[in-house]
Amino acid sequence: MRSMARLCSTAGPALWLGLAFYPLIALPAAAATGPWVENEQARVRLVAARSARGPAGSSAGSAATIDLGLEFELETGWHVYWSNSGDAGYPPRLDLSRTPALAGARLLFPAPHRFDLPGGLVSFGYEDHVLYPIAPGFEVPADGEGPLAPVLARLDYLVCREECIPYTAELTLDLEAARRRDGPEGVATRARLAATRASLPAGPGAIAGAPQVTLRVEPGPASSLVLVFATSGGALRAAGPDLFFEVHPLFALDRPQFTAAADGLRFRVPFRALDETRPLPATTTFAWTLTGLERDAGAAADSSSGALGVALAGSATVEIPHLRNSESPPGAGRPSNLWMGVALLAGVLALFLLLRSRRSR
Amino acid sequence: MKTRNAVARHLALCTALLAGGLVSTSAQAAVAVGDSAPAFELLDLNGKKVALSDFAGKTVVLEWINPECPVSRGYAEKKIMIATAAAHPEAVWLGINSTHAKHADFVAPAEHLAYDSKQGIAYPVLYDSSGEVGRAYGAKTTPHMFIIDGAGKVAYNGAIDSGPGAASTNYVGAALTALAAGKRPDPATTKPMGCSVKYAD
Repeated sequence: MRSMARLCSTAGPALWLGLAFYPLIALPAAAATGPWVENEQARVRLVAARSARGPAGSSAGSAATIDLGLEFELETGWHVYWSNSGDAGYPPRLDLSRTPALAGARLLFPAPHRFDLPGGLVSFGYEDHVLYPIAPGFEVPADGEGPLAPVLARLDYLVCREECIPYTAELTLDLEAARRRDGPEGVATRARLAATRASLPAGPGAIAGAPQVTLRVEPGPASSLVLVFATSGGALRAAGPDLFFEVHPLFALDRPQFTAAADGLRFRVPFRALDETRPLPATTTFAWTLTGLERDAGAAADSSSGALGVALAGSATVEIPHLRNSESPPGAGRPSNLWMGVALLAGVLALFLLLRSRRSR
Repeated sequence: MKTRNAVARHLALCTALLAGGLVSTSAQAAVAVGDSAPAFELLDLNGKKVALSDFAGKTVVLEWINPECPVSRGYAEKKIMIATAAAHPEAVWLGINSTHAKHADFVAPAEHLAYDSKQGIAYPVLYDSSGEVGRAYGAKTTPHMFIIDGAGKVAYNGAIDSGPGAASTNYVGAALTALAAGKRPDPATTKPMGCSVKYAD
């Protein structure tokens, strides 16, 4: 039994944030929700609302964008996944190929949470409730010819507690209703869509006073990425910061080790190459998401979203030194080993010469 | 002075061992493509010893399996592993179950045999209840697939296929075809997908 209180508590801040935006929106709140597709662990549906981006003062039926989202409600303890699901799971896959107007649309991923699993494994995702925005939205044709065709989507997703259950759901949504149907439910749906979009991890450039980010590679037997977020003096402060990475095709990244340093938030992330047989490129890019930030009370005085957590996302390109894992193929550059070998040989030679000279005396 | 040196040496040794231990117990202990495949000797469901060295010179596929994991079971029901193995008789296929004996997913060998026979799984399934072999390879999910080439090196590490959806690519099938033709698999690494391997905490 899903608790109504839980739903209210998760939707609450979103609703208030959306309502805060509402006075800016002169359009009627046309919105629609698709039927829930339910199982014992979760229920899932498509939701849509005509966007505030439509021309101001336009009436129903005129050109506008319909924003879409994929909404999950989960039983206690169960979760669905971020774009990088971590050691287990996989992210939901939404196939919109039967809705040509949305064929290029994809899911956007809110800031994730970390779930520890037995044996030191970890996965990244969401519990209780999550609303994934779908982008880009549906562009309503200006000429308004005929009713809009419904959205038909196939969703493959995995829902996990410790065990994981794969599901496929056929989802539908009445786009015509999303264009025309007004009412209080529409206000709430549009508010929730606006809130989930507003809370998506933002690029540091999008937030005034966001920390400068530096990223470098620390070579060594356990080579590491070092990310420093210069939060001191900025508009954001740390409140349980955590760092996540998108799946990288060349490297496995270990759990970030966090320290609050004088220069800001410092994360050391051990990594290793997944494939020792192929040459590594000179540079590579890591896409990160930093969660657990808060707006500083002073800086947020004029902001209605001051109470909400802030997540940042960005990517950084770093030079890859001649790093190899412990077992290197011949020819891979390992200067430290080479010099150790030379030193060892020199030592043996010196000992040999010493013994010889003693014997000859 | 001698004592102090001995203490210093002892401290240095302990530090080195500790540092080594910390590195080797991290999740980074997983094998990379090109690494030597970690050796193992485990018991199959009939109590017979099976060692990786029994198959020296051959291509070996390792499949992390768990009948209680719906993803692993789903692949068994769709006969994906069986069909891939049948298409590649040149390769040895071994299932490995690293579920910890105290975990709810643990099944006794007799029960596993019944499951295998129901699903038509004829390849050996080896028990690794300590999780030692799973950790040595860095097996994370069921299923999680590794291919070891004839030279004993890891040639593929990742998913069996590209997962659910209309058009799925069988990565392990493609990798075995490449190896049989004397080529390196491409992709040689993918992200494994499924339930987590149920190691001890």
